[in-house]
Amino acid sequence: MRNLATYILKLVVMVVLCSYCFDFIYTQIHTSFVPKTKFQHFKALKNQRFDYVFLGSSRVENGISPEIIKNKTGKSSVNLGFQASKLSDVYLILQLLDAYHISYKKVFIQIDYIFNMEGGSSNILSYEILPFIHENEAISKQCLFHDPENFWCNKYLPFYRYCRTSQKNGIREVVSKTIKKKSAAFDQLGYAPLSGNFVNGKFMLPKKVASTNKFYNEIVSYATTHRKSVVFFTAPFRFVNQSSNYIQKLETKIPNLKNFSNELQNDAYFQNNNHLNHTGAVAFTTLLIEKLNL
Amino acid sequence: MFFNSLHFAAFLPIVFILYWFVFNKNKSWQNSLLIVASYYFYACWDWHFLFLLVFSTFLDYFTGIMIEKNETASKRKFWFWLSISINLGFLGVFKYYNFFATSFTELLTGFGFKVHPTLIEVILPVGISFYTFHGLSYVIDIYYKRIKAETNFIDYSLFVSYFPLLVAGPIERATHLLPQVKVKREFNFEKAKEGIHQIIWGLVKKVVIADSCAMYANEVFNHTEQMNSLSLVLGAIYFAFQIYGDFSGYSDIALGTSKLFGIDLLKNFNFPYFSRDIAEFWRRWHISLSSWFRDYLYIPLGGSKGGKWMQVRNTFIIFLVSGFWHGANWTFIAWGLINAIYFLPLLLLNKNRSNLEDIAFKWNAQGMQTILNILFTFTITTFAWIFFRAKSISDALLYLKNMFTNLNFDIQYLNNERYAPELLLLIGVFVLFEWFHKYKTEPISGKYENIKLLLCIMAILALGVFSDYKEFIYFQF
Repeated sequence: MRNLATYILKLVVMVVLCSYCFDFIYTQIHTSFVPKTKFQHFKALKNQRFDYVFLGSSRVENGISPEIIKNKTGKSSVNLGFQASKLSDVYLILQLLDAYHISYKKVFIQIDYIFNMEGGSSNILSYEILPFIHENEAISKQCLFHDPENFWCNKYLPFYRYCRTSQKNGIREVVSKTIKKKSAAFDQLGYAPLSGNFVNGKFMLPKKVASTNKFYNEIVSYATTHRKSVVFFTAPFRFVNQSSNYIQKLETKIPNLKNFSNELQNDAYFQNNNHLNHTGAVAFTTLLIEKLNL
Repeated sequence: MFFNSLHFAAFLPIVFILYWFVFNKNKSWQNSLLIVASYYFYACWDWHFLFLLVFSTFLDYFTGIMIEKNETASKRKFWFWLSISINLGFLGVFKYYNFFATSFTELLTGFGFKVHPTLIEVILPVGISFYTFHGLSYVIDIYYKRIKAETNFIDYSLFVSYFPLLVAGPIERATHLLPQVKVKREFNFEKAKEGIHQIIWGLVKKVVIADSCAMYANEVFNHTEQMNSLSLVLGAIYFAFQIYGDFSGYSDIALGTSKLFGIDLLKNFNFPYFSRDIAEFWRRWHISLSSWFRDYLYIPLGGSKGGKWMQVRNTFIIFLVSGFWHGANWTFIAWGLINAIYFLPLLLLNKNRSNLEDIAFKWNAQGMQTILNILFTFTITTFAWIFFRAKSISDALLYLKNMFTNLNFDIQYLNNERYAPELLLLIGVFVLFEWFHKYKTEPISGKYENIKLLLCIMAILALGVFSDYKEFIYFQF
């Protein structure tokens, strides 16, 4: 039995050493090598200055082109919309803008039915921030919020977080970063155009607006404390079921909400019911420039 | 509780320590602990079905004794058929009732009758096909006086419910397992070490090979219509390695785990993809099931004693039943039928036992012939797996139609953001590793043991898939 104990100890040492080594190597590669994911591109913007920053979900990512803003107004901007983002994710990015010393004059935050999703957060962004869990308290908090069950293991067990998200942060990503495979994730300053036109039926907004959203409150409070100029807006839907009056009800919760939900009603502008295609994004960006005096 | 979960990683050491340090006084203590652990293990899947396992144990234990006790043929027959019909009845209700009901309805609908069958909404109790077959073999062996009925209920319970083999085999025989549980096990370091190596190698097969292949195979099989010929060919190959890595990996972990408790289980896989013909494949794939059907179905049906027609009939019966054992779906029956058809030429030409000896490869013409035979056998096996994997016969036919008519061999970028052929390198390394260790129980022991161990640990950590895909395919059977 003593032989077995020694043998198991040897195995455990091997596993622990491998885990520490892999954790160190992976984290170094994710931190220092060529950016691949949108979040890594965002991190790479450290110490840069922008006139405008756009935050929100894919409805921002696919709908606002900083290049058009630059061409039409000469103002610099960056699209930091992340797929499936909720207000918790938006709050995280807002804090990280300061943590990474990315300065801006005004931040535009897209808000709609995500106001009702207080408990939600983006799976995609959560995968992308996981390698940096030790780097920043805001990231750590968001990891805890997104996956409380695995938070302890993610943070304190070496390599655990890479194992759990091997499909997104695993060997494939590490190898492609090591060989400096170029990523197109940030070719257009965060704007990811959609093509095609697959609209179908009506988009149903919720009937009721949540009484409150703690991350909305956090965002407002953060903006007040740090003297940030924040504008909330709602991006277009193809054909909103007007009977619910959701956006109108939302306007009562969010003073000065800029409502663009019904501004574009041409089917040709939409990739699907709640995402603009490239043609729609051009139209919407132009509309934003005009209506928001960018 | 999956073998590749943290839950099992905690469960196994606890049971191991209790087994060797607390419950090591005699074999009854050891067996009692293993039964409790096994019931806990099973309850972690679904405690509602624990009664089925307990009932099945009671049934076969009791009927086994009654068969042995009764001298008259009619009474023996009564207890025998009682056990068989209840065992198969449970299997039939839980696994096949809905299939028969819907198939019968479709048949009647085809004749213009309107029928609305009552379907039962129940999930398949995990491992039911395996522990039912344990019980059946036990009762059949007693009936034919090959073994004595077990009178010690604890020992018999452990034979049925022993956790390493409970949910996906190997399907044990009373003649092999019962003698081991009837004596106190003594700790043997070499055996335990071999067990640990087998567990580690099983994990490599499962989390590195099977689960990686699953990501690609699922993508191809779920989007058949968007795939070109190359991707469809690769999808079938990936599934072939997925199911091999998954099931043989599970078996390795089961065998290795059992060795930690001093109990040897039946070998279930013997490098089946290195088979030189389909008959050899079936002697190397899921050995415990193939031999079960051979001993309890093929031989009672007459085996190969009758004329050719009898052999052909029995072969088809075996393969169809084997297919049906896997699941209540026509795809499994088609898979069995295809394998029977593959087998037929070998049977008719009396070549079904021509590759009994180990593969002795040399770089000469005969060696090349061996490689070609292996590749051919792998190709036709992979072809049959398409039916096994597809959701329906029409899906399988569509898959094949697209594979043979698309004829586009461009590299495709799949929806899971991966290029279709990129896994071939990993599979190639795995095949070579297995090839060079094909005479061993597990490839880690021996020369360069520490290096191989380290490589396996590194592979599990760095190449393993831990996030989305955990389930073992054979748990559904």
